[in-house]
Amino acid sequence: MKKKFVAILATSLVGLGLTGFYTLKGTAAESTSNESSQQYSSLEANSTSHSLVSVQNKMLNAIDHYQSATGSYRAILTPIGVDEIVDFEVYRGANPRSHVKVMDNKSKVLKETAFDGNMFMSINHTNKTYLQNKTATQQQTVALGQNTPRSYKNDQGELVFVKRQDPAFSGVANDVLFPQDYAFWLTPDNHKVVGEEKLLNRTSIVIEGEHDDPILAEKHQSTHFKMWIDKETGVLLKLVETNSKDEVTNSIEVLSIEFDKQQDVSSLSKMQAVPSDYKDVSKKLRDRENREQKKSEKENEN
Amino acid sequence: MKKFLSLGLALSLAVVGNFTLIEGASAKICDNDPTSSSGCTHNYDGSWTYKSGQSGSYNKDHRVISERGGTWYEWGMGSLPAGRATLEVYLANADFTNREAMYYILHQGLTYEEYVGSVNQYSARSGWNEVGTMRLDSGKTWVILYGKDESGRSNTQTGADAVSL
Repeated sequence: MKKKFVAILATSLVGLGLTGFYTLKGTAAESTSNESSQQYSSLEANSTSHSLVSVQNKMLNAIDHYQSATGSYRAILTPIGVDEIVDFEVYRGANPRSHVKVMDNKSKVLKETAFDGNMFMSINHTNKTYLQNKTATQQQTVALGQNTPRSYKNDQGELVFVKRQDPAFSGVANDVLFPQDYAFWLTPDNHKVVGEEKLLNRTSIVIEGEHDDPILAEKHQSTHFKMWIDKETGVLLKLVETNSKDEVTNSIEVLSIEFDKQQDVSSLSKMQAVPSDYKDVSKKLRDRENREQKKSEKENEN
Repeated sequence: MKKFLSLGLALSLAVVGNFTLIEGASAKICDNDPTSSSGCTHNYDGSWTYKSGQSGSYNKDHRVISERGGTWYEWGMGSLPAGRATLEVYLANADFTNREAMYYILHQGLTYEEYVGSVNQYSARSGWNEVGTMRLDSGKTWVILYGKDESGRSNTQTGADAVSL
């Protein structure tokens, strides 16, 4: 009996050892496979130029390169009828805050957002409504390592874009101040650095490229893009998209920008005063109960 | 003897099999209009148009609402363990044009939604886009998308496809 027990035990240990070995080997092979075939990020690809990688890196991590930014930009996005000016005042640092105003081309304020370190507010001046909610996000306690791929394909072959959180909740201001979306437009083979230019008295790196995301190209009604990226911070200073007839379909242009200006952050700490006739459409418990009731009603109808 | 060797091997495989299953955290994915077997639910308010046969969309379908339609779309993620999670949203359709689509999270037992962050559905690349990382409380969790383009534009649309925690 004892011999049989020992035989079972010995076989189990050998089996464990072998399986463990193959698991590790499989994991290593899978990692290698992930690294070689699934990684999509141009950060990992063999770039034709170091500057391509560094520009994209700068854009993806722009919030690390300044403490505060104030200014404005104009966005003309023809496919969706947008012609607006965005004023921004964003403070990164230890106590992130933001105040962003969106105006139409006649300077009428359409919308405002503000973050005071705890609450996020969005005011819709057109509809005279506002949303005010506590923010849920925790700070990313583990910084994205330099070798962490920012985009890759998952096991289902779907693209995943790893975005850093904006601790200041700057909304549309991030189109220029934290241009991760536009950084992801740059893939290894679809763009090139064409030179440097001075914009707003700042040195910008100029990139020309071609859309390789057909859905994005369709949405933007464009085939090509040109970006001017601030060399120091990675901020998007200008973007122009054109279609096959070389007509401009979308443009974003920073009108003014100042980094790390001494500013009174306390003004950003106070939640924006909302006109008394505006309606609070923030979600509350009573709305949740209403939703459950509506759901039951829908189910009963069906 | 052969019997005992086989038994031993089977035992070792059973043990290792259990260990390999307990590996890190996995994502809970909920699509719009989930099936009853998915463990997900959905709910919405407003005229969210259902579109099927969409080749790029997750499971080839999604919902969209125009600015005038408002107001919210909700994915019921079911019961999740406590911890931290990253919210990712799947965007892969030319209909999705809201530049500041706002996402919220609601934990069972709380009386209010918490704001997670926004996604520029107009300029984000097609695929899974991260919105933010947040704590998860043990229990039921809902992801909510506010369906209005708060800039008051009339010709943008907010899209609801799959979300992942």
